[in-house]
Amino acid sequence: MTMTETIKKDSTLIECLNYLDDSIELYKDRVSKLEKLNKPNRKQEAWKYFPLKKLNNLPKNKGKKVTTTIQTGDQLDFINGFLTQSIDIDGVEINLSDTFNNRLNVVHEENPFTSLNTLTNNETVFINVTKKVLTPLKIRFHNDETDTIYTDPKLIITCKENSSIDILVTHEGNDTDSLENSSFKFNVEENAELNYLSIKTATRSIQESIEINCAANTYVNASYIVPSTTVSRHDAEVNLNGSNSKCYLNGLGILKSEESFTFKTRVHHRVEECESYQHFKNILSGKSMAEYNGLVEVYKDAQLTDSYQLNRNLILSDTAKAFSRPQLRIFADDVKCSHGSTTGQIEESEILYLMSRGLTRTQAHAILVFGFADEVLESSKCKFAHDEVRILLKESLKSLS
Amino acid sequence: MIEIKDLHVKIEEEDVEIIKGLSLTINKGETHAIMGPNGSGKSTLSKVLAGDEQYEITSGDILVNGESILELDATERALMGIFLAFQYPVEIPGVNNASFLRMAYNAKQQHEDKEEIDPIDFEEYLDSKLELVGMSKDFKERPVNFGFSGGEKKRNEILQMAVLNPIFNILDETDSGLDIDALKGVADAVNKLRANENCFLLITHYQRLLDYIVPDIVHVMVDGKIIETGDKSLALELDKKGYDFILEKQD
Ligand SMILES: Nc1ncnc2c1ncn2[C@@H]1O[C@H](COP(=O)(O)OP(=O)(O)O)[C@@H](O)[C@H]1O
Ligand SMILES: [Mg+2]
Repeated sequence: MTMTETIKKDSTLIECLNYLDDSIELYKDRVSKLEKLNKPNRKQEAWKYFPLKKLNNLPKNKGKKVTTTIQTGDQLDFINGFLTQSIDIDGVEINLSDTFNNRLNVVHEENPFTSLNTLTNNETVFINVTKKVLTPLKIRFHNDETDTIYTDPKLIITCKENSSIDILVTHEGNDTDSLENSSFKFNVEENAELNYLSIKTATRSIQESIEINCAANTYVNASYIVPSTTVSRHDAEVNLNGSNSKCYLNGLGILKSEESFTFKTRVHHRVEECESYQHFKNILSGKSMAEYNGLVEVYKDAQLTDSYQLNRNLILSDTAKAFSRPQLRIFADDVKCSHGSTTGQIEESEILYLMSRGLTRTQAHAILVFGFADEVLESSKCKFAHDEVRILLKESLKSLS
Repeated sequence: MIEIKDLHVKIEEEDVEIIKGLSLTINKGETHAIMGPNGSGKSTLSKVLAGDEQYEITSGDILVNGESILELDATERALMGIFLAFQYPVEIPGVNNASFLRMAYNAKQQHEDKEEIDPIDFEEYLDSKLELVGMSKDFKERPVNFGFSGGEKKRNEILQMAVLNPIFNILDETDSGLDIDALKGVADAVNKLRANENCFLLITHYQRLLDYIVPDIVHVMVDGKIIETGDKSLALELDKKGYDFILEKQD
């Protein structure tokens, strides 16, 4: 019996075997781990609402490296999940490693895709920010679109002590059946500041694992904006490991037809005097689905924690669905934690207010929907990108009606 | 110029009448005040005038310059120059105050077959109106009413009024939430906007506002009807003796 046959069990992510194109030794090692990877199913809380059928037919092949020489340009470019263009920005170091994944504990409890990324990724990109960088760092992910592929970019971004940077990430392309299974890890060291804005306009499915580790006195603002998508799933884990740190997580999904946007957050307040703020909004039409599943956990010693989770969904059709689950688990006694969730339509009183100033009902509605969306963009600190993103938002909202 | 004739209003799809036969005529250049206890239907009247579709007019009419406006929606009424400064202005997060005002201004320009205003000219125009109502320029970049204090919201309504320059101005409890200095500032602005071509309807609970914006005529509204009309001395009398006094006089 071949090795493939040995592990061919229905419940595993068996299709992924094709992604392993390494030497046979590494291959063996990984395949044995793959066996443990059960496909997500509805019985698991984290996957209860997710349109699993969209991930059941994984692309057959992993994306191939299109070039072995990395150019230097004005942004980091990833094609088929591999770095093809680097940058030359003072204070930003880019390194590649193909051995990193051997050191990781691969089986992720809640999300097998995170483990899968670790197993299949051959080239991890390390970005070190060593000082206050004024030039925004732009990173683009797109595919060579001739084939339906699986890609597995893995980035480990370390913001060194006292550094600061703005990072804009775009996922682009018209490649509906492909899957991008990406993994981002941020290590934010003492006194560092990270402003991060991720924009997804690609039509391929995206499953993104995010880990943010914050040391003392750090500031992180991470915003995820999805003006158009098919499937977009983000699992974020934030560890507030040093006191006096602030972490903002913002998200916006504009969804139509059968699109879906899932954001799962786990924010761990492990030490005292940290703040975390989550602001997630969705605009839903057609038969689209949005899910916010947030948890803030305040550990015993994390006194004077300040946190809120806000999820608001604007539903524009009878057939769209929004699932909202902000949760708190608190083990400290002197904390300020709140959460809120609203799901509904545009208020008639708001429409009347704008109409009474001379705008038509249609204009009023459009302004209110845009305002609902723009509020999330306003919470992002990557101001340099806002005008361009606004254009994307406007285009996307136009296509809803 | 404004004529309200035996107006009866109920809430759409409910059987509770709120305005129960109200008549009122306001001529060009006049300022009228309506005073009345809470729940007498003052805000309902003002929203009905603005075109709020949650209310149903079961009988009566509202005429502007002789033409009925009942068939017009809120947009059309605004464009013909009816303006309501709301008792509870709505917060609109995500919509920039200045660009909202420019849109509203341009909607009117377009309606009057005039060209859209140049953004730089509008900026200047808006600055002059901010100064008139005593608001700082910071308010231009803030989302409409979002996070404003009660008093700031009321001022922002007067700012919008000043920018749009309507012919029929309805101020619903603009004085509530304003401290005395703010009230004087707002009253000052309103007085500067009073002209021969427009008219004002001040709705208030207290007569305090009427010390600063002196009305030509004062009406007392109780339970959906105007039960007494007089000059500004009526407001003072009311303030001293309370609404019961008027009600007793009725009986
Ligand atoms: N949309 C509504 N639904 C239910 N009741 C309403 C509505 N609008 C007004 N009312 C009722 O009509 C009466 C008059 O209200 P309102 O016009 O706000 O009075 P005022 O402004 O004089 O205090 C009150 O009893 C109020 O509860
Ligand atoms: Mg009222």
